[in-house]
Amino acid sequence: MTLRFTRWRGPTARAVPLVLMSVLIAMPAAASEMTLAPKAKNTQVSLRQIAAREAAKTTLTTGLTTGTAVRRAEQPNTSRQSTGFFKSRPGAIALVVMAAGTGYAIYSASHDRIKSPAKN
Amino acid sequence: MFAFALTVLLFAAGAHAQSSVGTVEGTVTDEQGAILPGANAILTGPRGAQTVQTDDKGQFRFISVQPGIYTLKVELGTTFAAQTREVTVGIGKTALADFTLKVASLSEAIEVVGSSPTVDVRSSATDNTVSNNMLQMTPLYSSTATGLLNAAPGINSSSAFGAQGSFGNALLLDGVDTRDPEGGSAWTFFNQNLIEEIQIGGLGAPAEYGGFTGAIINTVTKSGGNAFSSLFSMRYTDKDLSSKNVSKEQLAANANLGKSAVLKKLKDYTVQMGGPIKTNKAFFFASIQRYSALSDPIGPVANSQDISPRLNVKFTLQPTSRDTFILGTQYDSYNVTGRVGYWPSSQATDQQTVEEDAPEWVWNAQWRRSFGTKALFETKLTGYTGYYYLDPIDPSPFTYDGGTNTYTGGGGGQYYADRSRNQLQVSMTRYAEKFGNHSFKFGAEIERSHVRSQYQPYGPAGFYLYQYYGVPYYRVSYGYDVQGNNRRTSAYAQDQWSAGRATLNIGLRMDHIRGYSPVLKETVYKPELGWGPRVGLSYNLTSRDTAALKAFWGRYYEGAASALYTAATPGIQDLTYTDVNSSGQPIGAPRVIVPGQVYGISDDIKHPRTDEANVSYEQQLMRGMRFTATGIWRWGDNFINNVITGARWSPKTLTNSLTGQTFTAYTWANQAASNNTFTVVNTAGFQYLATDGSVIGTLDTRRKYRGLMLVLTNSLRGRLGYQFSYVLSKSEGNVDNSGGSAYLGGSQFTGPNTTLINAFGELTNSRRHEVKAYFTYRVPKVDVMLGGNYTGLSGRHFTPSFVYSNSTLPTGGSSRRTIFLEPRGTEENDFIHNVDLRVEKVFSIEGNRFGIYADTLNLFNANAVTARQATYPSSGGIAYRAPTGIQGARQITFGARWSF
Repeated sequence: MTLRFTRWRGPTARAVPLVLMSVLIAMPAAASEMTLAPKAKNTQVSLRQIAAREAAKTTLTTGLTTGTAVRRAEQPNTSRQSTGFFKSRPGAIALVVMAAGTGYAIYSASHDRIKSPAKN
Repeated sequence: MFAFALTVLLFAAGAHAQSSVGTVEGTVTDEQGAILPGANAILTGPRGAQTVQTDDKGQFRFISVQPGIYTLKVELGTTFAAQTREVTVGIGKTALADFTLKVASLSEAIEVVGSSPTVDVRSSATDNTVSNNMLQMTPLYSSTATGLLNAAPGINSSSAFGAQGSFGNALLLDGVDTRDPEGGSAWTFFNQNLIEEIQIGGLGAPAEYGGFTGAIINTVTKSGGNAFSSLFSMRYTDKDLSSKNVSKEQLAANANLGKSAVLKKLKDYTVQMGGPIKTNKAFFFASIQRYSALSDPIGPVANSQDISPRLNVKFTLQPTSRDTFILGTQYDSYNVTGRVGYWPSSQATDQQTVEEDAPEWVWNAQWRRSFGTKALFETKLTGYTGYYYLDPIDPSPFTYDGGTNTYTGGGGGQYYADRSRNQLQVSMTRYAEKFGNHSFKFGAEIERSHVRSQYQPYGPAGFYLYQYYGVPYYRVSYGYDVQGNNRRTSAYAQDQWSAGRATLNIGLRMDHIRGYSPVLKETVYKPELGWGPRVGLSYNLTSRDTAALKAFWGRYYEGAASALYTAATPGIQDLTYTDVNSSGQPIGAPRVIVPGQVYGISDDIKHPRTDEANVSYEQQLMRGMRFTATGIWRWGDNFINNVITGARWSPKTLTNSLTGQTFTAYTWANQAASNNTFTVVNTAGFQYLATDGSVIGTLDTRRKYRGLMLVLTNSLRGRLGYQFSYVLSKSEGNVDNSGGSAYLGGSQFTGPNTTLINAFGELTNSRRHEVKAYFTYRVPKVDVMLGGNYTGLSGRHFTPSFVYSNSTLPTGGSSRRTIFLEPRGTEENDFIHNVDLRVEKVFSIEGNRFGIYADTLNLFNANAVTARQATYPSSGGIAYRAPTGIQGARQITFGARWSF
């Protein structure tokens, strides 16, 4: 019997992917955080000043640090966003249909079930 | 925390984690191009809104965004007019959304509406998406991942880009592989109404994706949101709504086609509800389905019924702005009666069928934690346990008459399959800047799965009686009970490094796969480590992120499968003949015809793999429309199969009955002496030896695919939506891409007649031309939706073959003396045209959508031949080239649904 040998054999060849993987894992740890902004092209001083003032207001208002924070904003409530929805006509109908469908599926799961003799 | 996570990952025993979320990022500038730090970016979706502020570079980023359509608003005080934009987030994708804010006084409108580009200019992957919208508006329907896979360009009969049809695809549910650990087919069935989005990829896939040589189908299921939502859906059909499409000519060639399969009754309903448990914090989603289909399959069996109740529950918890927990489960009980057992379908009656009992539990627990906008940690624990048991209604042994080719008695076909699969995934994504922008991702995956398959093909009695024109000859016994435990640990590291307009996608994946025998209590399958490097380059051609040129090279290793090694474990019974008297009672001891030996397995074995190179061009043509052209090359390697290492072969000159030419075939010269030398190996390089030890031939097992794929995609969300694709391709080799035996343990390579004679050529699932088109159109004023699809597809290839008799060519089995009479794949079945159409009348009342629809499959009742008799000059009374399979006949299904 002849079995073919591949190119990826031997200690040196095996070491290459290991080193590659180590480097790829280490790179995120070594990479720096976002640095200060470089000088932008075509910057218009007046607009930048305005933007800076607006940004300062926003930061003061929200208490957030730029570029790092994520928060959830409140969404306006609609009629379907509270349990009161189920007191409405569509909500009540939906509940009834859901209950009927669930009931029949559960009934089916027990009554339509084929049971293998090996599992009895 | 990051260092801790890194440490955990380094000590975790391996990895392969697939994301189920995407990213949104962009830069905010003013009209002069000056960056605007401190602007608020607000991303609003079904589970609330998130806000980030642009950094010193004017950049913002949202990570851990579930797939879907979002509204992105950017505002900066009152000086600038706020802008909103619709953003579509795909699985594992980065949606870029750059904003140019205008001074409020210069802009009359306060908000400017637009949409984000549809081209991911950073990724090297070529993906196709099947959205919930497409599933809802076209007649596409399937309860398995493989069924939906075939909707994508380049994938037909589950064979993706030339790969194995039954094994080569990773079937991910919410990011985790759920296929059968024995042979890779779909094990977990689902309710199609559960699907939020499907990502079908595999071309240029980054290192986080593994365990496939074909394609990946990543199915993300629905979740509850802040608003209560529901879907109530019903589908119905009966036999009066089906047509017949077999022509007189087809019927004359093969009378068995006369009774084509008919769906006699379909009753399928789904009730679903999702909503908040606590606004912005906790959500639920529940789905109940009962699927019932009664069919009249081909052959005498009149009634075959599937009944499957299915329950899904999913909770999504967002206790903090950084954490998301998802807990989900599915229970389904798949019950089938009237399934044909061992007998051929042309002879089995209702009494010769089996019953199927196949329940399963599926679980999925996930935790995602974001660390600001810089890092995302994900972990998933998913698995299932279930069984699939087939029991014959009539357990008595059957009798087969070789003279008349008829069966009497019980139906046989007892099969017990037990499966469990557990998978743990951990990954960390880290965004950083050093010589450009980086998106590092690294992770680990551990899979532990168990397989046990018990088969008594002739029924519980364990034998059948062979007779010839009514004269009993012997009892035939065979069966197996095999087990295997797959133990896979994988690890990967990848980086998406963008500098200017260029992005380098580089990664490396390691797969460590072991096959353990619980019977032997030892590891029998020990392939070398699989190292899968991936290198991709994407170049953004425009400043508006609307066009990209991409190139990729990568190596993919196949998933773990017990079928690769269970031949090397105990459990295969002898194939025996026991002589009988005139009344069929046994006389004497059983004679071993094929010993149920434990095969050897090479210690120096390599796991199957595919190398891929592709080049693609992506262009956004107008809003929501994307054109992609991709050239694809794939080469398979490390094929595993069985050989007989001690066999010696003697040449014998035979005549090709089709061409009249003589050729050299080979008989097994030392069967008795080498019958116990079956071995599982990498087949490439194996040498067949003559009786004097000289080499008859050396195996050069290979498979290659070349393809050009053109895709034009529209969002399918406006009044007119469409998706059009054309694929020109060719698959060649000598390892076929249809059934599993060519790949997972068959007899093709155990003799030279099936590997050295006409063995190389076009493979079964080589489709030269493929056209797939989907469209949706909303008819104005009357609120009627039209949705449909067209598929135009070259037929599958087949090869004329002749089964030489054992006396002419003794080879120890008919499979080793079934010889191709022409080079592989010279014959081709009909080109298939198929049109499916949905017509739906929609009523919209106060936020409720009511729809009544009719689906017509195979609208024009086409009758292309999908399979032909390949055995020359005939087999089972069916002549060579006579049709043995016809396109499914027209079927109309009615449906109704209510959603809000």
